[in-house]
Amino acid sequence: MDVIRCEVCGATQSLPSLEPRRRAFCYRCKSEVARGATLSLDAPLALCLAALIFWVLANSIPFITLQYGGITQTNRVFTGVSALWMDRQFFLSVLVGMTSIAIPGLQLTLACGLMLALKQGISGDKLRPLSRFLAFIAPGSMPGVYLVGAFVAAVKLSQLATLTPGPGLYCFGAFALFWVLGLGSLDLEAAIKDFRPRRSVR
Amino acid sequence: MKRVICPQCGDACGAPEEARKQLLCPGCKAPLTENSPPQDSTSRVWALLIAAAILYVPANLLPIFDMELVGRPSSDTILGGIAALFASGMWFVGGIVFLASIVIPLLKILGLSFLLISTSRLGGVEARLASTRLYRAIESIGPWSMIDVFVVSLTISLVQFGRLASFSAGPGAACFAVVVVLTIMAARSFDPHTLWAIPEEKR
Repeated sequence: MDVIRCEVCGATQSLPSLEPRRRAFCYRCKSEVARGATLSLDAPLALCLAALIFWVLANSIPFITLQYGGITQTNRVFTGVSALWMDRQFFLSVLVGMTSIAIPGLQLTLACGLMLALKQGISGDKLRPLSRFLAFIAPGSMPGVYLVGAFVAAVKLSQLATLTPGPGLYCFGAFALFWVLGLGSLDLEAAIKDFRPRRSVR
Repeated sequence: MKRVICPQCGDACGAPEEARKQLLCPGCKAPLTENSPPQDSTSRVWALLIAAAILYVPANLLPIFDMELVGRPSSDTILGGIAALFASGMWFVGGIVFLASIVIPLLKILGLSFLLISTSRLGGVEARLASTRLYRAIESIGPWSMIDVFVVSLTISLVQFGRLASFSAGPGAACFAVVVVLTIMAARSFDPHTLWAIPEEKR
């Protein structure tokens, strides 16, 4: 039995030990207070690494191609950021760049680093500042929203011109999927508190 | 002395009944929020909400797109874009944009205002539960209003065909993006503890 405090309403309560994938809710305000973690970091690490690979691909290959009056225009994810910058829309440019590219990438890199460090046996207490920083930047990461935005833009533009989705778009979809699965299956609080690397037995 | 649970490491710490300054957990040095002098975030949330509500007007009135199609300049507001989608029969996509750009920002501004006003008057457990649920919903739908900002960024990077057709971001786009950021900040500044702060009545 652990004693925990609900993040939402602040009620202190005891938490029974949870089996993997079971969730516990606050007795008072019914918000989720804990999730039974499968104390292995293998699955979240693999998913986050996959997301990171697709993040690199999605950002380096053509995203969407548009054909209009005999002219072809291809963009990448970053082109949207630089086009806004050229337009002197600096705030929009930074906002889009941070939420669609920079923060998700930073988040995944840090999460992978943190999991690898835990697996190496580095004590969770030393990694707390890093996990606090990860929680701080999390609301600024929006790959799923960006994907829906790309869908809406594609539908709108297909009325105007011929539009071909590039490989980068599919990679971005895979990246968003692995991002959700990887970070969703990682309970950083529990991992930092309870993860112990398996000792090799000889 | 009473026991306080550290929000970060979960250790039970001893704390004097009335703390004069911020107490830190002896183990992990995280601030013990339950024992910190009450920080009233209400005025900050109000400030962010009012700023968002003011900017919501130009965000909807000013064009988010300035475009030039075959030499003819025109512009498009958020509502104009949605109307065009509906007019061409794209109900699904039009619905997504309508939800993300019009309904969600309004819902967040009105919902948080309602929470701020009603906090001090909450009666039974049921009302508190409903308010907490409303708060969680407002917090989780926040990022989805960014859709239109991403649409602007993708569109202007794709439609650069010189004199034939070119798009650029209008002044409404920046206003709208600020509204989104302000409402997300307001939702995160709101302290849901206040919904439960007053001693409960009998259950």
